[in-house]
Amino acid sequence: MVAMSNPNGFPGSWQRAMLPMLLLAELSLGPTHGYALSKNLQQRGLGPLKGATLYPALAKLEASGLVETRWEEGQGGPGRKVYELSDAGSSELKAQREQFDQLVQLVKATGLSQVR
Amino acid sequence: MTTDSPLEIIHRYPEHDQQWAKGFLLGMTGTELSPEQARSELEAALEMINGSGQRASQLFDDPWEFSQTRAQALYTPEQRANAEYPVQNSASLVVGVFAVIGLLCLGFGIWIGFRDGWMSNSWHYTQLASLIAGAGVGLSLHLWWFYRFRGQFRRARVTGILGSMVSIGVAGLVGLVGGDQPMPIWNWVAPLLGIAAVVAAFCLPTPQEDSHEATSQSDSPDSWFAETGKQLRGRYGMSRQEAKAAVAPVRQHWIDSRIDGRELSMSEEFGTPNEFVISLGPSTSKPAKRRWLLLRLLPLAVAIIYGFCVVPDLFRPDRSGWDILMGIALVVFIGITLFELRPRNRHAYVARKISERQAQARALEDGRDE
Repeated sequence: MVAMSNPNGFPGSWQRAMLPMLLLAELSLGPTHGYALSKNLQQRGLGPLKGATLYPALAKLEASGLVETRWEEGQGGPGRKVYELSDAGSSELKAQREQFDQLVQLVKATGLSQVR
Repeated sequence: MTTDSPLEIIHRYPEHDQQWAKGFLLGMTGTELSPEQARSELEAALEMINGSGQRASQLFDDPWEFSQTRAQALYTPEQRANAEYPVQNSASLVVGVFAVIGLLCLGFGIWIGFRDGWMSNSWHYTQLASLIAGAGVGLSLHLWWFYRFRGQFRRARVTGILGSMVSIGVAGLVGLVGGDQPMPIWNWVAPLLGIAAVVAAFCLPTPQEDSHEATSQSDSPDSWFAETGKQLRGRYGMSRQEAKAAVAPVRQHWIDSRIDGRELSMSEEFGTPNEFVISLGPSTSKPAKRRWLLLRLLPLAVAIIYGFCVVPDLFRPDRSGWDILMGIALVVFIGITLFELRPRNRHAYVARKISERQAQARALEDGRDE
């Protein structure tokens, strides 16, 4: 499936591909819970981020040890699960950012000149 | 939508591609795809072949691999859930159990018939009682496991407990009334009953199972959370606490959005319970490990308990060949099970399961884009 440009935001496949890195980056600012992560990323311009995409992504990050969690009392609910970047998550974020920079360079340069 | 049968569609393929198309159809038959989906895929492939002017193998490569790729891309969430279950419906389970009982009656019936004569009465009431108890409890426990696996906990409990109690009760009654007396039936009747049980098993009506989609359509948050929790516990073997913890952030998300003045539609925001559970599948390695261990420890425990009955017979001076055979079979079974319990096997199983669940979750996400 080719990701077509979407006037209402990034294509869904792009959003999902970038989401783990964006979540790690958002958590590098400090621990927070799922709903706040969703709101922050939407305010940054990611586009509508559904819970169906967000929570499985957070669960995967937690299972792979890139994110640590603890529980805080919530407002009238079961409690907030607060997500925090682990040391492994910090290193992963750094590595992913470097790779992403390379990708951005590649995308920008492709088509502007011939391959030497 | 085409109404042609798969074979009619295959006949419309260029002659040199018909073998490929048969392979493609055969590959799809082994998947969860419905006959309509398979027909539609055959049509779509034919259209692409005609449009490209290339041979099928050049366009799509190996037919079996292509069928698996297409199946993964086309599965509905319901079909993805079914891929997780070892048995697709309770009818298959009942057929299996009836067929095993029938074959046992047939095999032992023929043996006893040749040994004691076809017109003798070798079968005793106690043996009938054992058969009723064994088959009844076996079937009840399998149905308990089946319904539990599908997250239908109440039905599992009722079927398991009630079925076992009724079987034991009936067996007890038969044993009590008949005692160790021979039954007034000739030995030739037992194999015939066995054949009848096997035939009857395949003639049983197929009950309508509750599908996940049917139970997932409700958009009420309470039923959404309840259904999601049940599916996480049943399908992936999470404990009640683990399932509660997995759903808790979603519940808090829903509460926070209401505080913000947003009324979320559960299925639009989080998908159906079935879809959400599939998305969480890759993060279920701990329950997968536990289920793997339980599935091996349970038969081991049964074998060891049975061993306490078999071992004393082995040391009797008048032990029979049968006692020795049972002792050897038991030791072999325990040895193989212990060997299978190696952590290396467990890691391999969990890695395979998680990778399958990752593929399902990824395909589900890709399906949302199509």
